[in-house]
Amino acid sequence: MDCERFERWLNEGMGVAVGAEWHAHATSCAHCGAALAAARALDAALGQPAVEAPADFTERVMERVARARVARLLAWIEPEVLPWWVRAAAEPATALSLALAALVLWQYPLLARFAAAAFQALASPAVATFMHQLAAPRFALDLSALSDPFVFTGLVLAGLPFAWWAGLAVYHWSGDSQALRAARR
Amino acid sequence: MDPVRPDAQEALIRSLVERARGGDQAAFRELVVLHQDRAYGLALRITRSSADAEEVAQDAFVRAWLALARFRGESSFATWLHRIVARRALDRLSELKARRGREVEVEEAESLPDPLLAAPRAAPGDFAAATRGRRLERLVMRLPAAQRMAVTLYYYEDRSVEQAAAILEMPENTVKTHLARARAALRAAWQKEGL
Repeated sequence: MDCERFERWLNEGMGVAVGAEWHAHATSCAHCGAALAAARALDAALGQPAVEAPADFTERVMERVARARVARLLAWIEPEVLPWWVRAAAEPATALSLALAALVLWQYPLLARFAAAAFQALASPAVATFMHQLAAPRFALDLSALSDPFVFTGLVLAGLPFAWWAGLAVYHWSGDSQALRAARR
Repeated sequence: MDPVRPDAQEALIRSLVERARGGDQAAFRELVVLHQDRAYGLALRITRSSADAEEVAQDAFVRAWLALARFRGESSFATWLHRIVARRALDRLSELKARRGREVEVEEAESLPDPLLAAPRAAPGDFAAATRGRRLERLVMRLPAAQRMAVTLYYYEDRSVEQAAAILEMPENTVKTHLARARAALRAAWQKEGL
């Protein structure tokens, strides 16, 4: 029996039944005897509950519970509970994309006319300038299709799922708990 | 809370959980009363701030209320609740660290004002035990976060190493290591302070 083993046993919580050898060492070694006494006193003291919640804690919680109807909806999109496709469908960006797509399908002729007019008024000069810049031989890309408002609108709509996916990825990445990872280490 | 036999207490909690799952706020209120001290204590020992601990514990109870429909009873209600508290407290700690750029140092913990450490619930007249409990709380608060959480769950929340590991989402051996280091540090401080 040596002091190092004895201290390791103390640090591990004194879980193993104490034999005569341990008692003898604690009796013969003043340092370990004091450490054993301290460990026992510490064990007893640590078992005592010592913290009380503030006096109005219950009432405050219940007030928040009563106000939590909206939060109940948000709880449905907590990451660990639902399959990914349900969570994805519940994302605001998805709902917005679907609403936009439904609107386009519903009022397509009207929106097409509006898009064409808006494009003529706003985008055409910008695209023309852009294409003029690209007109040099080394950038001989044919982007004339972009001047078609239908193509332009289609590309914007096609980009929405990517924007949604990127937003979701950033959202989950930023929500990871750094403290938890540090604690695991 | 009146002293109740452990099995009767468990049955009462199961019954309250069932009623609360059905939307009974009065039943949930009883659950809050039964668990608030431990939930608050866990949050306090992780965050080391009474204001943050109160916010974290309250938020955890609200989240528990909202998620009760998904509580399947695979663990006890207390274990499930404490997991939520621990996660919220760790997130809060992470936010504070990000804001301050570094963890609260030991010296800061030593200078925590007394109100941040709740008064020990000692029997009237047991002044020595109350003082000792208060000083021990202070020693626990000075431990690194992982050791503090392991000690809190194992000693103050009566969790097994396995349960503490589940709550903290750590391997059991890691929890054992944190506990061993905490015991060594606390014992050294205990002897040094002559408690």
